[in-house]
Amino acid sequence: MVEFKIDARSLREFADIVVSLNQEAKIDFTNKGLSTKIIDPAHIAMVLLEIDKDTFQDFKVEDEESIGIDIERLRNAMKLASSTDIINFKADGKRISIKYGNLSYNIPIIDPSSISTPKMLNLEIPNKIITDFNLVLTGIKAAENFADVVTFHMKTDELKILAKGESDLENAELSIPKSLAKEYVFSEEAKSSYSLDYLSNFVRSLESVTDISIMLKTDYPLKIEAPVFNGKGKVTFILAPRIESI
Amino acid sequence: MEFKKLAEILSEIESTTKRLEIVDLISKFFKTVGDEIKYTVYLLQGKVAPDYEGIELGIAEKQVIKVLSVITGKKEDFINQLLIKVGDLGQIAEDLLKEKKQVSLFSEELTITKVYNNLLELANKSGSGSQLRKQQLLQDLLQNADPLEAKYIVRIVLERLRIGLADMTIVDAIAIAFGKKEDADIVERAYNIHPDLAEIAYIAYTRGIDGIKSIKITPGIPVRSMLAERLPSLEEILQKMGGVCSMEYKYDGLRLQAHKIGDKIKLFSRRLEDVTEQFPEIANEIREFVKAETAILDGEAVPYNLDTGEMLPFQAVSQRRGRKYDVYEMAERIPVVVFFFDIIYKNGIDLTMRPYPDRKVELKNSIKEGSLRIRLAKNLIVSRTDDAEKFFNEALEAGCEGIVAKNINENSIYRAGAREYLWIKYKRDYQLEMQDTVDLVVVGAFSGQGRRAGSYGALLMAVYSRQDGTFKTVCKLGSGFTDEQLDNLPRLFQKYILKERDPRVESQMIPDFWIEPHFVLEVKGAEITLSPIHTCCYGLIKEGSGLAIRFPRFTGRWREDKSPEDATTEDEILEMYHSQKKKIIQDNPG
Repeated sequence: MVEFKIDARSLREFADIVVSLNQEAKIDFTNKGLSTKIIDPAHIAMVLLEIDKDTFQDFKVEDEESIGIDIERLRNAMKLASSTDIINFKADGKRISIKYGNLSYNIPIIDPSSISTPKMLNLEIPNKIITDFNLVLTGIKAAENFADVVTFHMKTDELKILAKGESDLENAELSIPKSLAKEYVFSEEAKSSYSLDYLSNFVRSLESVTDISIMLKTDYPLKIEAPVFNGKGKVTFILAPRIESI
Repeated sequence: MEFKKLAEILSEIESTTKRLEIVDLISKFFKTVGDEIKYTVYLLQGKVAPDYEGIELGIAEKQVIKVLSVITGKKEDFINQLLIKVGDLGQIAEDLLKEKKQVSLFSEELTITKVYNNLLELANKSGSGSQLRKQQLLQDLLQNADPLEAKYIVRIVLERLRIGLADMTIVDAIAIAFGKKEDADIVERAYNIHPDLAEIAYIAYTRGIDGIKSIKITPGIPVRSMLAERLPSLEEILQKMGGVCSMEYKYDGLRLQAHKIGDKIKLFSRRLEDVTEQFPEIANEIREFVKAETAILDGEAVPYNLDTGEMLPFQAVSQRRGRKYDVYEMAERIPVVVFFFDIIYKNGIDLTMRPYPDRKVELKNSIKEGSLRIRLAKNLIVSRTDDAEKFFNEALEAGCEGIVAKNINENSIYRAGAREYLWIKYKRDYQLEMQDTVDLVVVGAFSGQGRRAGSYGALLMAVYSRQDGTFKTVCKLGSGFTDEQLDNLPRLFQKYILKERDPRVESQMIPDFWIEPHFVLEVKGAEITLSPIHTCCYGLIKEGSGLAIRFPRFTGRWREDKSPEDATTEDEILEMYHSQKKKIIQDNPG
């Protein structure tokens, strides 16, 4: 049995992050909190999400337990909640019950063994920048207007986020100089391209993030980490590169 | 072994038309695949199980397009457009994967076992949620596939491998890989009584050619049917038979092989498909009236009016084939009677090596009297031409298409899968020049004009050459189709249109569309003439000439019960040509 209370805004953010990659999730509960690993059907991107039990009120887990949830159904059940509503979540046997205000919903639990979870990837990425999330978000939103692919280019003194349109005349570029970074670890010049769809869906699902860490290596998966839920949780996003001739 | 190696072999087979090269290629490959030999043979044949198990992959083009869309990031509409242009999703998969720039986070090298297991699981999925699971299994493969691997995975999953690999080529390759070339007869014999080449290859790999010799007839596994040769007159037949033979009615229906294993009954068509579910009333009567614990009987299922005792036209019974629903209603509407004429196996004993008269006695003793729907084929021992004539006319009058003469000497064994002179058929209309019908295979089509614009004007038809497993053209067929049939042809043939000539087809004529050998049509012609363009019997009668059927006309009968390899053979056309010639000489002496 799993039971907790949480504000609607946080639960919604959790659901949005998961649903950016897959509709179903296997969530592991322990007495320290919860964690989940999500991979999209084409195995291009992966999200790891860990949330400390302090994020919740009245967090109760009898035994370590894994629950399969249809996240789309969970989001539908919360549709009528305002962001400050407190959601009562209870998973017992075959179903999950969601209560807020005078409303209550039941949704079925999915057999967690039917949901494939990704293996852990052992990535070695030498370059890292920690910077303001909104700055990165701006760069990605700028690219969304005309491109499918976004390129990250890290040099000794700046990280560039570039997007090219169909013609060479059309492009956008965001520069984050080393001086604006909270941390800047440079070991080798790196340039790599990624699908903008995946990246946009992910960054747009983040609500409570202020700082973001980006790790980059040439033609290698991109790794993004960010503290979520006031530092009581952590999200990691890994995205496979596109091999582009640029 | 990596699936990539098998994909390369498939690609090489596709690009050559030389049978010996293919045999060489496959036999060498068989030696390298180790215990994955079984899966290798199935995948070469584009299937996951022998035909008689009736396991179908059952995934639709639409679903494959969905999966390709997820993997390549291309929109489904875009892939649909490509499909209209290219016509082959396998080719499209290869092209799209070549362009693919997106890397995935995990990838593993595909092995033959992995591909086979995923396809088998995909084939066995049914019921709610199965479509999604099928897609996931396919996606799991395509995600890890290189472009060439993807091409063949997609074709196999759609059951359209299109490499033109004949079973007999695999038979030869098994013999050479695990024995010697001369052992092909042993492998073929095994194949005829146990038509599962993958299993045979596995036995050859583990126990050698001697292991294959120990393969025995097993109730529940169909035996390839024994077939009859043909001769132009009853007189010649009697002569060939040594002056005396057993003549049997040649019933006009569906060849049916019945297996009894205790209370379990299995019925197989001539193409070795399991048709048990389509004939529940026959299965019931076999259970009740066949006096044996285990038995395999050979017969013909004929549509029959149980009230009047009349046989009905053949076409009626074809309505009962392939039917999944309303089988009981159809059993009422179109009753069928099976006329058994042979017994191959009884209570653990293989009867194929026993002479025909012994088997006939065994058959008679195995069927209890009083059954409405299972009966014995009518036969008569004949030694005089006028008796044969009388019996033949009686057969025609009863609604049969002719007679089958059967050798009754000591050596008259049941030769599974063989067409030899132990059995000789004689059908109505032989008396006239080529009034007999032939069953021809569609290998190409010509665009129509005028009233036929948008459809086909004529089809390129071929006979089958058993010697080299090829289809040789024998006529252009444009007559005898109704307007409705004509309108339906493009839709019917759409899936079978090839970009290039099927490697098994030999043709000098170039049609507007090549069509994979699949459809068999019954055709009636006026005579067989020499032809400079058709490849049937090319050079056999006269240098630079083949044989053609003059004034061919479609009788309206689709021989769905026949596979292209069961069509009229090149040898039969040659025989018909000779007998026709003899007749002309008889009629115009001097």
